[in-house]
Amino acid sequence: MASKQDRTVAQIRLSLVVMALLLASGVAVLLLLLREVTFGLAGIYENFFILGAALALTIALLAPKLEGLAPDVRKLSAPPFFRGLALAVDTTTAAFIFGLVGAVFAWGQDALAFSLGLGSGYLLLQLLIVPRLPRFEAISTAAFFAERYGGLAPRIFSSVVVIVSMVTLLVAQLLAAGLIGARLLGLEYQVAVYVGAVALLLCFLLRQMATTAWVNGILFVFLFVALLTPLIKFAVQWYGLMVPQIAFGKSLWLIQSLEETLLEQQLADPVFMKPMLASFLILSPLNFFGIVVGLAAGLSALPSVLARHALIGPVRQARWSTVWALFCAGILLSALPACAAFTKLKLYATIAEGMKLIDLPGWIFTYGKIGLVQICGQDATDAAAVLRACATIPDAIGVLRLQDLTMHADMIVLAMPEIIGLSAWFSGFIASALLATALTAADGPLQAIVRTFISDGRSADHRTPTSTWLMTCALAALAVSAAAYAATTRPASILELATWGFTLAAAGLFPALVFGLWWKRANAWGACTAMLLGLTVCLYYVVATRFFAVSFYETWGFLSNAGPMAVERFDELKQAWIAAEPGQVQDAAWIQLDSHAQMIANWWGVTNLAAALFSLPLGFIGIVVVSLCTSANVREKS
Amino acid sequence: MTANSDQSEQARLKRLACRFPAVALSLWAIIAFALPLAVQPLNLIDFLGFPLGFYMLAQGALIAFVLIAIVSAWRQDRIDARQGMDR
Repeated sequence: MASKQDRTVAQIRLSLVVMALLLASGVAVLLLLLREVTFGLAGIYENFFILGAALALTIALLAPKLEGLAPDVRKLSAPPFFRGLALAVDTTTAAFIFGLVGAVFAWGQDALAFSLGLGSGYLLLQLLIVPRLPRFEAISTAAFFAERYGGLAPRIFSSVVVIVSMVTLLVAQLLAAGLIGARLLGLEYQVAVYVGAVALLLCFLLRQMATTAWVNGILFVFLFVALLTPLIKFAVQWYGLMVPQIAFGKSLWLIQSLEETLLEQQLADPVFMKPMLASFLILSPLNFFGIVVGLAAGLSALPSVLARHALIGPVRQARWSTVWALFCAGILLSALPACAAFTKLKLYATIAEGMKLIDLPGWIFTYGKIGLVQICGQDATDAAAVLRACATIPDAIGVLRLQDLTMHADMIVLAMPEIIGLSAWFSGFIASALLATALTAADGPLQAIVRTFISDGRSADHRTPTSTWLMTCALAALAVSAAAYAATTRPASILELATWGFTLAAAGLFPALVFGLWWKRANAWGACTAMLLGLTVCLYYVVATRFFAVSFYETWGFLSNAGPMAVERFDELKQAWIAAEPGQVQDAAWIQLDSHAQMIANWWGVTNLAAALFSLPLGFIGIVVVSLCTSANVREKS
Repeated sequence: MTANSDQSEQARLKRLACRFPAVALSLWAIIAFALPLAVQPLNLIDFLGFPLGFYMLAQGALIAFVLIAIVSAWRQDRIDARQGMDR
C-alpha cells in the first residue's frame, strides 16, 4: 500500500517537472510567435485568443490520457510549512504586492490598512474557519453550503457570489500580468493581457494534475528573493544595515525632512504633496476600518482558499499551515512598505537636487512609453515630448517639480530597482517572479469557479470522465476570456480591483459561512438572505459609485458627505456638460463631471473600497433575523 | 478516578475544543481597530529609528497577529492531545 503511494508521488513529481518544461517551452514559443506577429499587424488581438483557445482545447483533449497521474488532493498533502507558503502565495497575490507598494507610495501611512487587513484575514481564517470546516466533506464553497444548509438555493446563491468575486480577482491578476508583460516583453498592454490569459489557461489545465503546494512554495521563495535583494542592497548602501524592514525606519524621517525641503524650494505644491506620515489624511478612520474588515473577512471566506487549503487534510495540519501562511505573508507584507519608502526617498532626493528636464533618468521614459509616467500632463515617451509638454505650462522653470510628475501607482514595485539606482536586471527579476505569482494565484479563483459547477461535493475523486474535462475547459476558457476582456479596458487600478474582489467575497460569503459553522440554528433561508443582501448591496455600491457616479450622486445626494463647495462645483460642471456641444467638447465635460462625481458619490463618506461596512452588518442581521423567523432546519453534523 | 468524573472531564475538554475563540478574537479586534486610532500620537516616539505609530501599523500588528495565531494553535493542539490520551 505504502509503496504504491510512494510510486504515485514519484510519478507526480516527474510529471510536474515534465509539465513545467513543456509549459515553459510552450509559452516561450508562443511569445516569440506573438512578437513576430505583432510587428506591423495591429488590432488583431482577438486572433491571439483564438490561438490560445485552440491550444487549450488540444491539451484538454490530451489530458484525460494523463489522468492516471492525477492525485487525490486529500491524501497527498505537503507538510504544513509548504502548505502555508502556498496559502500565502495564493492570497497575498501579485495584485496586492503591486497595490500595496503603490498605495504606500501614493498615500503614505493610511495605505497600511491593506496590510493590516490581509494579516487579519489569516488570523480570522485560523480562528474561525479552520477549526470547524474540515468536519464537512465539501471540496468547494458551493458544496459546503449545499452540505451545511441543504437544498439547491444556498448552492446557487453561493455559486453566484463565488463567480462574481472570483472573476473580479481574475481581472486584477490579469491586469498585473498585462503590466508586467508590457514591461518585460515590450508588448503592447492589451496584447500582454491576452498572452497572460493564454498562459493562465495553460497553467490551469496542466496543473489540474498536480498538487500545487510544492510548486507554490518554491515560487514564494523566488518572489521573496527577487523583492528583497534590491531592498537589501539599498539598505546596505544607505544605512549599512542588512534588514530593509528595520533600515527603512530611518528613511521615513528622511522623507519627512525632504518633504519640507521640497516645499521650501517651491519644487512641490502643498496641494499635491501627500505627507508620508500623516494619519487619516486619505482615508477617514471609518474607511480605514472598513478596508481592514473587508479584506480580513474576504480573505478568510475566499472561495479559492477554502477550495485549496482550509478544507484539505486533518484539522491540525490545516491549523499550522495557516500559522505558517500568516508568518510568511507577514514577512512579505512588512517588506513592501520599505519598497515604497526607499523609492519615495530616492525620488524626492533626486527632485530636491534640482533635476533638469533635459537630463531626466531613463526609467521615466521606459515607463512613460507604457503610459504609466506623465510629465506636465503628457505621456513621457521621450525627452523631446517632455520638453514640448512642459513648454506649454505657464510657470515652467526647466526643472522637474513634484506636481509635474504623475506616476501611476501600479508601476512602483516594478520600477523600484531602477528608481533607486540599481540595474534594470532587478526589475526583470521582480517582474518574472510577480508574473509567475500572478498566474498561479489566478489559478485559485479559476479552480474555485470550475469546482462550483463540477464537483458534487461528495467525491474528491479526480478520475473524471472526458465530458467533465471538456466542461472544465469550457468554463475556464469562458471565465478567463471574460476577465481578459475586462482587463484590457483597464477599468480601475489593480489595488481597487483586488480589494473589490475580496470585499465581494466577504459580503456574500462571510456571514453565511461563519454562522453556518458556529450557530446551529442558522438555516437555509437565513443563509440565502445574507448572501443575496450582502452581494447586492456590495456590488451596487462598488459599481454605482465607481462607474455610474453621476447618477448615484443624483439619487443619493442627500446621504453624501459633500460640502457646499463640492455641491456647487457639481452643479456647475453639470450645467457645463448640458450646455456643451455634442462631440469632443461634451465628452471632455463629461469626464470632468464624472471624476468630480466620483469624489462625492457616497453614503456618509464611505469609499467603495470599504463597501464591507454596509454589506457585512446587513448580512449578519439578515441571517440572524430570517433564521429566527423561519423554522429550524438543523443539518449540523457534530 | 471514577467513571463519572472521567466523563465530565471529557465533556469539559470537548467544550473547550469547540469553544468560540472569544479571547483571541477580541485581542485581534483591539489591535486591528483601536491601534490605528492611536497612531498619530505614537508617531512622535522614536522606536528602532521608526516613528512608533507607523512601525506598529506596518510590523508590530503583524507580529502580534503571528503571536496570537501561534498561541491559539498550540493551545488547540494541547486540548486535542489530552482528548486523545483520555479516550
